[in-house]
Amino acid sequence: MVRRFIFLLVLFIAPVSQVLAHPHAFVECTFAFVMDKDGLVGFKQRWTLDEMTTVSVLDVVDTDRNGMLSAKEQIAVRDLSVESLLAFHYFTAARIDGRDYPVQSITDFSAELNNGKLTYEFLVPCRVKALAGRSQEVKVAVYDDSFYTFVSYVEEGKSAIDPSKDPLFANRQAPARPEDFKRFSDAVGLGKYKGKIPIQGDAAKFKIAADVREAPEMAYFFDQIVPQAFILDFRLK
Amino acid sequence: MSGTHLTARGVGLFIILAALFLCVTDAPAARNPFISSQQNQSPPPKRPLTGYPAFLHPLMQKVAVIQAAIKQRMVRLAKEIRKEPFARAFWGFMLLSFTYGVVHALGPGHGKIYTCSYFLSRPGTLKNALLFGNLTMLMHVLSGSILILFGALVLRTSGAMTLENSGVVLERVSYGLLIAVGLFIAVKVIYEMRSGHGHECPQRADIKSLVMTSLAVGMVPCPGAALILLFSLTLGILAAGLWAMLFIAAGMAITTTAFALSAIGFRKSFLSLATGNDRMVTGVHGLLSLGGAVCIALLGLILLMGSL
Repeated sequence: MVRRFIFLLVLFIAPVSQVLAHPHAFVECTFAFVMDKDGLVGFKQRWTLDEMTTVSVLDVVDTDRNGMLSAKEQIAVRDLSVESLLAFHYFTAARIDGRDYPVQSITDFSAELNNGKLTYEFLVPCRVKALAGRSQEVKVAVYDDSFYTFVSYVEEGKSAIDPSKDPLFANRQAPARPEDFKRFSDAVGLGKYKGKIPIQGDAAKFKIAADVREAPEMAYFFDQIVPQAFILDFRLK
Repeated sequence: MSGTHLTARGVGLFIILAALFLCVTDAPAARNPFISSQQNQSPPPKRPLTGYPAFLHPLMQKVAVIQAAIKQRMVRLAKEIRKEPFARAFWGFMLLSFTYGVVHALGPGHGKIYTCSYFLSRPGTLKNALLFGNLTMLMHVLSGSILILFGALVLRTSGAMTLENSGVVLERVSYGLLIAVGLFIAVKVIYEMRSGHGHECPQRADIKSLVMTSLAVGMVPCPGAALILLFSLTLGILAAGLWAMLFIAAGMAITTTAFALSAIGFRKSFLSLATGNDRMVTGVHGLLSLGGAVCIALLGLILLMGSL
């Protein structure tokens, strides 16, 4: 009897409890490496916030409540974001040749409001000089350690989480099948990021290889989520 | 002989259970990373200590997608409600709110650990569990809603910011109260045991300590529900938003009541192991009562220290 209880409790509490409530916010992230003649400059990111999260930010900065961002409000968004996201390292975890690179600042921040969704664009500086003799590896994953936010990577001009792209979206007659999740995640563009890995700036002098791979060493939120990381290998030609 | 054996097994099981519950606790209330100001940022979010096996990893991805889908459906329905306030979209919105509540309460925080500790510590009935579940979750949703509305309509500043800033204060008060409630129950148990009533095992929780614990747990605002209210307020469908709060609270109450009932069942079956042996009954009763009470006080202390 007691064993059965323990078993039920384990089933009931342990796996699901930490998992289900989060996340609250959803961000679509477009990512690019930025290079100049000396090597890596940093990571350019564009985040599109979901409507509800957008409302929570606008509630703070849109003081005239007109649903638009004036020049003054743009500055308010910048100040608020730069300040608040600092403790979250701007959701950016980076490793240079296997060593942690703590992200402490961002530059070139701008914010836009389109169709009820806020878009942030900024650069995470990470200066790595290219070497002649050997390749260096820079690994970057974008995620919120506290899992308040779920970040998904999208290619420029595309949208990641849009359940309406599922052919069976809101079709109540469709019977539940085991392959449902796979169909859903394929249709809405989840799962492994298959898009391009843009490299902006002056990359002509380098031999470059870029890839997206799962990074188990960066697993977060009780080690339950293994993020995908952008990986850049580069050296002087 | 068999008595000793049973007690050893009981202690072992209790430790396993306590360890399991601790896995659930390591979760102070969530901060909105996009608007948390410096003053409530100390301490910065820490990497949690506990981990789960690898086979659960894909589940997280799946869960995130399901939640994204629920939220997107709600956003669409909210826009329809704006055009036609009490049409079909309204009921769709309420249904999703209810589902969201059930699922949401399973997540970190939301007082499950206290619910379990309380009902391990004190005997309970179905009525007690229902009262505790509903009262706690009503408070949990109400406190967030009041902060949002107070910030937006009375202070005429930002509801979201009021929630972020006052949420931290309410959290600390709640932890402080929980320490007090835990100690109060512990002292009461010790008194009962010393005066020789320990083995009598009352069949119901005393309503005063139940309501106290419930209010102390529930006063921490629920950020998930608050975000939905804020969204409704901004879209100009406040009435639908307020109804949605009730549906979310009802959904969350179901989950919390289920946890309460499992703790009550566990306590009962645990005590029944010792039936027929008065000393054992007293021992097990004391172990559960004191263990649960100490658990409540200790967790309050850990979370309070973590939030300072």
